[in-house]
Amino acid sequence: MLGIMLEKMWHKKWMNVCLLLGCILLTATVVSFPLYRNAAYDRMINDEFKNYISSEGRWPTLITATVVSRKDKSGSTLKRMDEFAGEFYERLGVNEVATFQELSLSSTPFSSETGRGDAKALSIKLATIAKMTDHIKLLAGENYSDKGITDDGAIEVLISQSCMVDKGLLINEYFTFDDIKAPDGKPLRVFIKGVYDEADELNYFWQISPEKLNDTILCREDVFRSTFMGDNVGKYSITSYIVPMFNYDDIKSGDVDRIYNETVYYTKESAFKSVVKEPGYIKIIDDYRKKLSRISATLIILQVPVLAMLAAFLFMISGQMYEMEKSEISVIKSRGSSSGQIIRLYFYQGLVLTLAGAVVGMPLGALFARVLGATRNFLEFDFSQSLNVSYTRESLIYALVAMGVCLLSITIPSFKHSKVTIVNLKQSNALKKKSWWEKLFIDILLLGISIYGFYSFNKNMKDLSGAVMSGESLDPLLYISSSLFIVGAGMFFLRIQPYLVSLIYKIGKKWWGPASHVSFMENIKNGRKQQLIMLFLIMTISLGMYHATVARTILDNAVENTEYLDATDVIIKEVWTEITDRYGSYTGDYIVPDYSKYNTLTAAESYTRVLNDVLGRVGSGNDSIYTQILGINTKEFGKQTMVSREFLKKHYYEYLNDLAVVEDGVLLSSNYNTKLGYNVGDTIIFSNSKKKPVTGRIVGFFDYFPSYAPVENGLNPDGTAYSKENYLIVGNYDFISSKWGTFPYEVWIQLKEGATALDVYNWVEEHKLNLKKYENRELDLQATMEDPLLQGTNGVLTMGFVVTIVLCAVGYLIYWVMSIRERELIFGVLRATGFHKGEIFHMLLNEQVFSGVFSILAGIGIGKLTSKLFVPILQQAYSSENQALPMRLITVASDMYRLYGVIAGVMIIVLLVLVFILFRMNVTKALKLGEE
Amino acid sequence: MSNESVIKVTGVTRVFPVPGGEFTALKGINAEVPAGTFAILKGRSGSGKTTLMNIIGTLDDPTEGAVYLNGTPIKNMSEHDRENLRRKDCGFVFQSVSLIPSLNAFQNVEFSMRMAGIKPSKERDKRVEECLRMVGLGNRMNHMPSEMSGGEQQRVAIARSFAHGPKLILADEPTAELDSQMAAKVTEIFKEMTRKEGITILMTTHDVGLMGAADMIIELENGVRING
Repeated sequence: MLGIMLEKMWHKKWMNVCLLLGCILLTATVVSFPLYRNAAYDRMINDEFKNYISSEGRWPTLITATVVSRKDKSGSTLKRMDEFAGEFYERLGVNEVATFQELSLSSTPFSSETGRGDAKALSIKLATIAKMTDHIKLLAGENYSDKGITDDGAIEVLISQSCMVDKGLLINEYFTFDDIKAPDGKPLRVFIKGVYDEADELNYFWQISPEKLNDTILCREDVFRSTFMGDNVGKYSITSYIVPMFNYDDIKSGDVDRIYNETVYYTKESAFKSVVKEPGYIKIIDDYRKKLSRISATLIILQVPVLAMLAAFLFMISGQMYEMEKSEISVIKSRGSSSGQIIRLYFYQGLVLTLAGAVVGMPLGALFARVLGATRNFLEFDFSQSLNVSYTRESLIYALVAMGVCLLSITIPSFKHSKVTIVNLKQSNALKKKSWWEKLFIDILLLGISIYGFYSFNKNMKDLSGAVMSGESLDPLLYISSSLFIVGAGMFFLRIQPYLVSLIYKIGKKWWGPASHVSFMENIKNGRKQQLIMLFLIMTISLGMYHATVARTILDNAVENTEYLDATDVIIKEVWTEITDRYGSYTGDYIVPDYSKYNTLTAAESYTRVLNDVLGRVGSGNDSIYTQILGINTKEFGKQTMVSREFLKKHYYEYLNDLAVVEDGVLLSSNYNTKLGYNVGDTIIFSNSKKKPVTGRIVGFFDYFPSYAPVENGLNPDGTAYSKENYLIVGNYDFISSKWGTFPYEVWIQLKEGATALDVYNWVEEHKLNLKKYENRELDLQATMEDPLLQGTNGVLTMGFVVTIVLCAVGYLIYWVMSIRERELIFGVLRATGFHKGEIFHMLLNEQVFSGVFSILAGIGIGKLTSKLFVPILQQAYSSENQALPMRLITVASDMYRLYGVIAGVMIIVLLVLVFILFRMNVTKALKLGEE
Repeated sequence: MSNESVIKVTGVTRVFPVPGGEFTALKGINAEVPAGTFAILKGRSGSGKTTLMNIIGTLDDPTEGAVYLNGTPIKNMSEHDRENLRRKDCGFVFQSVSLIPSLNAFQNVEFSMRMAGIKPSKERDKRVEECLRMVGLGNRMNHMPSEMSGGEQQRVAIARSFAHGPKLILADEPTAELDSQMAAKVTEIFKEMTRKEGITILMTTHDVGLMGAADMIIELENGVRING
């Protein structure tokens, strides 16, 4: 049996190579998805932590515990606390980066032994910080000696600069605590050995910064422990503050649940629950999980059509193989083999192919996952940031499932064909019959379902975005209806394709040469044989187009939205000090910071002052509404901001000009007109958050204005979605500031070509400015583009397209090679009767046009239609709370060219192969006329 | 014109390279077939008749010797001219069924006329009907090849071979897959065509029963002509 099988496989080697390719691709694709997902989630959780660092400036993965030992306790609490960090790391299964532990006595009076007058009535905490000497630099004096105690028995302490200044301490000075007794019973003496500061290193060891340790003097840990703990425990009340910090780099997505649950155990159940504070990373993980559920549902649903197409491909190829082997099977049967033996023969063949497919497919899957991770847009890659991919149990399960599918789709057709005998083989030549699906109107049914989906989602667009924001996973029908539409429309095209060919034939009947004539006839009579491969082609192309549009639209809208909401490159707002009167209450006036210093900001192309009050009000009493108020210098403001013409009724600059020419003019958001009935020429009274009123004359209404979101969507505490109108008033800076008096302004900065926000940040640092607001568009854009949901979507869609186009090409080629082989005799006859080679080629080319080119055109048309219908709905799934601009369908020519390029390349390769086969064909041999 | 030979073969030798040497399929064949003759090329399997047919049909070239069709030597003809010669002046009938499966009987016959460039379509239609009636298939014109028996298909192939009015029909074992009754019928049709249309027919067969119908017999044995 094995011999027969191998012989059979060798005989049909090309077919088997194709099957193997199918197995490899199926396994690789299937495996790549969980691999990619895991790697992406790993990166995502890591990004969440990193973002926390950059936004909060604190180490994200730490937990704090504080305990105060009472004097009468035996010290067991402190002992337990000492064990806390190690236990915590072990229980969570994380790696320590540092453990910050401070042991301190309560603040106690002490006095200088020199009796300095200015060093009287001082009170200070004696404390120790474990391992602190690894993280300090000395500003003055010396470090501890090895013993930590001076020769004359005083405890050596280090102090921070702030402590030295605030408490007026001097280096090399002795102090005495009257209320604290040394082990020998005498009052405790300390010796100020040096002044420290935190070392210049980028770590987060100092959980209490030296600046805040202005009431604390620090001695060596062993000295502290031997003096106040151990035998002497219980004499003093000691505070133990401990902060275990662990590494987040090596946290994988699979660790998240464990870390979360164990942390909750610590805060809710363990003996430490009363001393442990809920750590910040719990919220990070919560956020991550919310995103995760949305992303994983999306990715899985996006993968389904690709996987379905892969399985269909295998099924098709193996079906074709049986078609070719029918006669062999009937010969084997007539020699007395049972159906079971034939099925087994194919099963073993399938097993060999599947196993070989898995061996190559598994590593290829890892490569695919890396490619997925490098996808920036549809068919656009950036390999500079690679993903760490590693096999998990989940991916192995996926691989097994893929192998099962391969094996099944190779074996199943043999069940059908094992019943073939020579008799019914000859009967199966019936032509011009409608396919089963045409009789059952499957195409119409699919179109019906998808259009139903389209209408119901269109109607419930609001609910949809609400569901999305609350993190619900989406109705799969949303994704599936677009796929169903493509399949349905593709099948519908196949239904009408024969009529279309007939029509073209009839129109040009007089002009068709013999070659065209016979190819028309061939297609009209025999075209249905190609339906599967044509459907494949149509689906690949229309899915590709649809996915390219989805990817582009979602990304560009997200970027455009971020650009619009951020309005300009950098916005900073300094902290303004409010002037108090002599009774200490605020006057509403401020110390105005120097504006001219912005001249030294060389990174700025331009900068402008903007008054921005989000808590302005219009109207009085119960009828009043909140409004945002912007005061701008129209000329400077217009230089660095823009709103696309297509969102506005006239050019953005025309609005600004309208405002510029009327000193007390104001531009209003259009809901003032539609909801509140204001009109151009009316006056409007509005006041800022300090209740200072301004009367403005309305010069126009706009739908969009830089940074303005007309409607705010969000979630109520009970989880339901709400949407709220936002109002905006824009006036001239000079006019408004003259009415408001001094009012903190923002500075909007446009960066020079090549300058980055970091330059501004450095400038801020340099000038030691205290900022209340710092908005960085660069960073926001980066975050938008690196959103794992977007990236994952693009990755899966691109991957799916590449895989299906490869399959398509292989399937198409196989179909045509077989079709030519089948007709070799006829071609021979035609050649013998005087058909030129060119005519044969012409004939085949025509057939390619009827099947291939028609399918490609249909695919493009269906892809465009699907994009028009379904992208706006799908966008909802990707829209965020802060979507301000209306979403537009965006197709970028270069995306389409890439797509067309791939398709054209594939078609050219297919044609070349066909030409090659054709030219190798020998007439006399084909006719079997030559001498044996 | 009628006394001129449609086929003239002089000293044709054909040698095929085979593993380990050469195989001489034809050795110095001379033959002349006058116009309007029903000639049978007779011989056992392997006697070289198909090789000779291929050479006469311009599908193959002799190693030595010359072939003249209507007095024109084919030796120096280009591939393109040969193809035109085949589609206009020759008709072919093959041993196995050779109809285009996607065309019905009528269209198959019409197709050879299209290839020969015969227009307009009205004239074509009339001629196709006439030809199919001649082979006794006037009532099966719209049937697909798959709906006809082997003999019927072969008759369609014959109708196709002469529909475009060729001077010469080359039929390679057209009766091999037919029963004797049908074979006799096919031979009868050929005979009739030489009378009615003045076509020259060269048919190969090893069926001795059909020889009586022939105007002329060329007999081959081991690549050598053994009669005349």
